[in-house]
Amino acid sequence: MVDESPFEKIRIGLEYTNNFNRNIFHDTWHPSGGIKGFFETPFYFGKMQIGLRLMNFNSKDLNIPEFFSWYIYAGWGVEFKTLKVLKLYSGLNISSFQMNFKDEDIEPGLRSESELGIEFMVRLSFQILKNANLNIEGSYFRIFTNQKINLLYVSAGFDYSFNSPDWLRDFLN
Amino acid sequence: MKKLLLIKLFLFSISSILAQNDSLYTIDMQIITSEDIEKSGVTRISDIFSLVTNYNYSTINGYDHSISISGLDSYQHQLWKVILDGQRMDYTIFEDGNINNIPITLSNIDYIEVHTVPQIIEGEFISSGLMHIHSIIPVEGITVKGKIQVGSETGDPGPYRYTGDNAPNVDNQGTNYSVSLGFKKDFFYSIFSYKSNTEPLTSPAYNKRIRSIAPNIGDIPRLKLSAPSLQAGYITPDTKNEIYVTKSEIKDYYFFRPFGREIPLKNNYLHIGATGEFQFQDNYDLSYKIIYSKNNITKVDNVFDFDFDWGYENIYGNVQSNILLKDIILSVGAGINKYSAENESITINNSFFLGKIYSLISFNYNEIINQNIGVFLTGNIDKTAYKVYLTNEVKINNHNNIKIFILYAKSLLEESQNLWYWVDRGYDILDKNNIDYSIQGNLEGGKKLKFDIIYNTEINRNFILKLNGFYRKLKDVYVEQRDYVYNFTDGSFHSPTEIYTKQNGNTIGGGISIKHNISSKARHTIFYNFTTSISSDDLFNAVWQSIPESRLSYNIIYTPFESFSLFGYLNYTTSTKWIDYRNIDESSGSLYSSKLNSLFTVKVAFLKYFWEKRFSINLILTNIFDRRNQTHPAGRKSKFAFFLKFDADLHIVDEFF
Repeated sequence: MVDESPFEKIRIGLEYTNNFNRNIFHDTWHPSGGIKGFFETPFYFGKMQIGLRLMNFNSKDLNIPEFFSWYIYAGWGVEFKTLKVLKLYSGLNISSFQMNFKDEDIEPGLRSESELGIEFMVRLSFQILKNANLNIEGSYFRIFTNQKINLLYVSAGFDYSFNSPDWLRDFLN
Repeated sequence: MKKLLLIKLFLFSISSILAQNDSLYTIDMQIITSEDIEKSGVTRISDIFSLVTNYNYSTINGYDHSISISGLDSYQHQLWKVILDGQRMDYTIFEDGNINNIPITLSNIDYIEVHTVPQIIEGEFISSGLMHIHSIIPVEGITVKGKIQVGSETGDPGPYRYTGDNAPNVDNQGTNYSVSLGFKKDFFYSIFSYKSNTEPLTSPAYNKRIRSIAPNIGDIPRLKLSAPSLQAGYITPDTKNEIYVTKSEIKDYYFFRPFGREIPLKNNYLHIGATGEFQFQDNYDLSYKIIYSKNNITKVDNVFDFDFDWGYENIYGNVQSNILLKDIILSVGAGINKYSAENESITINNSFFLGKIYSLISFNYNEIINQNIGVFLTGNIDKTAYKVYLTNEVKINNHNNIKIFILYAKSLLEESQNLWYWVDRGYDILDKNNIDYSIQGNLEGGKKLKFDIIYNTEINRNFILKLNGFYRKLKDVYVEQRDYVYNFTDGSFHSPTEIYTKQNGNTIGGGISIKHNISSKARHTIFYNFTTSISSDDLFNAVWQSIPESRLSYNIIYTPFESFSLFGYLNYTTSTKWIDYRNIDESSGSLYSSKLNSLFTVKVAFLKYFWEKRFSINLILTNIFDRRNQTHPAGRKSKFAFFLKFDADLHIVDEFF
C-alpha cells in the first residue's frame, strides 16, 4: 500500500470516459463520450476522492427524451504500488446520479431526476513524470432506480500531484 | 478546549446542586450524548429511537412515529412525554405527535435522558416513558451554528419514466436545515434558532391516498416544518432561570385512524415557558415552571371538506422544593394544568382543570440500601387519581447494584389528550364526517401495576452489563378495534371504529444490554429486548401483536483519529401482526398485508471534522442491503438511501468586555 500522511498531497485528474457495456437500458439510450475530473488526497487509511463525471445519453427513440447526466461523488479506496512506475487503485464512489432531461414538453418539475449511484472502480496509473501519471480506469456503476441501471465505464487520462498548502492541510485535519 | 471543559464542569456542578435534581433519587435512564448524535449519523431526532433499548416504533410515512416503550403501552396510546430543558412540550394532537417537529436543532442538543421506567421526573408522573432533551448552553461570546442535510432518492423510475417501464416515485429524502445564534456573557445566555424540515412523501400508496383527498398538492406531498425559537437563561451558582419560546408552523398529512387515511392540515404550535431554580441554603432549594402552550389545527383544502376545527390551550404551573436532611431527601411539589379546547361543538365543557400534589422521599439507610417512596395525587373537585411507587436500590458493591421499582397508578382520562375523551364530551368530528364509531361502556383512564427489576454490573472499567425484567398489569383500559377494507379507488381504508372499554391485560419482558469499550478509540453496544402480552383479554392481546416480540441491536463507534469516526449499526426485530388489518390481504387483492416480516437494518455513517471541528461532513448510508423494511401495514417500505449532512459550529466572538 502507498504510505502517505493524510492530506499531504493533492492529485488532480482529468479523463475521457465512455460507457461500453450494453443492456436493456441501451435499447433506449446511447451514451456519448464524457469527461471525468477528480481530486484525490491521502486519507487516514487509503485515499479519498471527490470527483465529477459528465456525460450525455442520446435517445434512440424520438418520443423519449435524451438526458445529460452528472455525478458528483465522494469516494474512498486504496492504492498499491505494483511496479516502480505502476500503481493500482481500487475504490468505491457514492453519490446521486443526476439526470437532466432535454425536452421542452416535459413539466419543469420533472425535467430533472436524481438517484443513488454506487460505483466500484479500478485504476492503473503509469508514472510519466515525477508528479504526473497516465491513468486507465475501469468502473462498474449501479444506479438504484426501480429498474436498476448498470453501466460499465472505461476512462483514460492523466493526473498531476502537488503538496497540499499548509493552510489547506490544517483545514482538512 | 480547557476553558470549554471548565465551563461545562461549572454548569454541571450547578445543575447537580440545584433543584429538579432527579439524580438525588434512584432512577434508571439511558443517556444519549451529543457525541453519540454526531457520530451515529442521526439525521432527525426520531433516529435516536434506534439507539435506545426497550423502544419499539412504527411509522407510516417515515417521519411520524408511534412508540411502544418497555411494555408500558401499545402503539394505540402515545402517552410518552417529551421534555425540553425541564419544560414539557405539549406538541401532540390527540396524543399523536412527530418528535421531529420539536423546535430544537440537532446541533444544539447536549444530551438526552431516556426514561423507560415509570417514576416522577421534573414534576411529571412518567407512566409511559420520557425523552428529556437537554440543550447546550453556548460558550462565552457569540457562536453560530448551521446544518444542512440532503438525501438521495432511490427506487424511482429515473429515465424509465418516459418508457413503457415507468414506475412511481417511491423514496425521496428531503432537505433539512437549521441555523442558530448563541450568545453568552457571564451568567446570561441566549440562543436564537430556526429549524426547517421538508420531507417529501413519495411512497406510491401514500401518494394515492393523499392525491385522492387533496388533488391540488403539486408534484409531491411534503411535510413542512418552520420553527423559530428563542431560549435565554440567567445562571448563577445559586439560581437558574430560563425561558423558552417557540412558534412553529407545520404542514402535515395526519393519518386519522377512524377515517383510514391522511388528512391534510396545518398545525400551529406556540410554546412560552419559564423555569427557575433557587438554592436558599446548602440543603434547601425551590424550583418553578410556568408554561403556556397553544396548539391549533387549521383546514387545508380537501375534497371531503374535512375540517378538524380543533385547537387547545394549556396553562401549566409547577413548584417543587427539595430538602436535604441527614439521610433523607424530601421533595414536595404541586402544580396545575388548565386545558381548554377550541371547538364550538363541544357541548359539555370545553375546558377542565387538573391539579397535582406529589412527594418523593429518599431514605439512605446505609451505604448499601437506598429506598425511595413517591406519591402523586392528581385531579379536581370532581375526581381524583393517585399513583404510588416504591424504589429500592441495593448496592452490592461499587460495581454491582440491583434496582427494583414497584408502582401502582390509577389514571384519569383527562390526563391523556386523546380523541375519544373529547368525542365523549361532544366533539363532533366523527358524526360531522359520517364516520362510524361506537364506544362500548364508559371510557376510563385505567389502572396500572408495574414492576421493574434491573441489575447493573461493571465487570471492569470498560465493560458494563445491564439485565432488566418487567411485568405490567393493565386494568380497565380501552382498546380501539377496526376491520379495515381497502378502497381501490382512492387507496384508503374503511372500517367502523369500536372502542372496547374495561380491557385487561398483562405484559412481560426483559432484556440485556452490554456496553464495551474495545479501546480508547472504539466502543460498541449490543442489546436485546423481549416484550409480550400474556394472560390478557383477546383484543388486548391481539393489539399487542403489532409490537415486535424481540429486538436485537448492535452498534459500534470507531474513532481512529480525533477528526474522523465510523459508525456501524445492525438491527433485527421480529415480525408483527396487525389486528385492524386482519382482512386487508383479501380486500386489497394482496396489495397490503396484516403480517409484517421481520426487519433487518444495516446503517453505516462516516464523520469527518475540519478546521478543529468548526465544520463537519457526515455521510450516512441507511438500509444498505436495500431491504423493503416496513413497520406499519399502511406504511412506506424503506429503501437503501444516503444522506450528506454539513455542520458548522463557529465561535465567532470569544468574549465581551
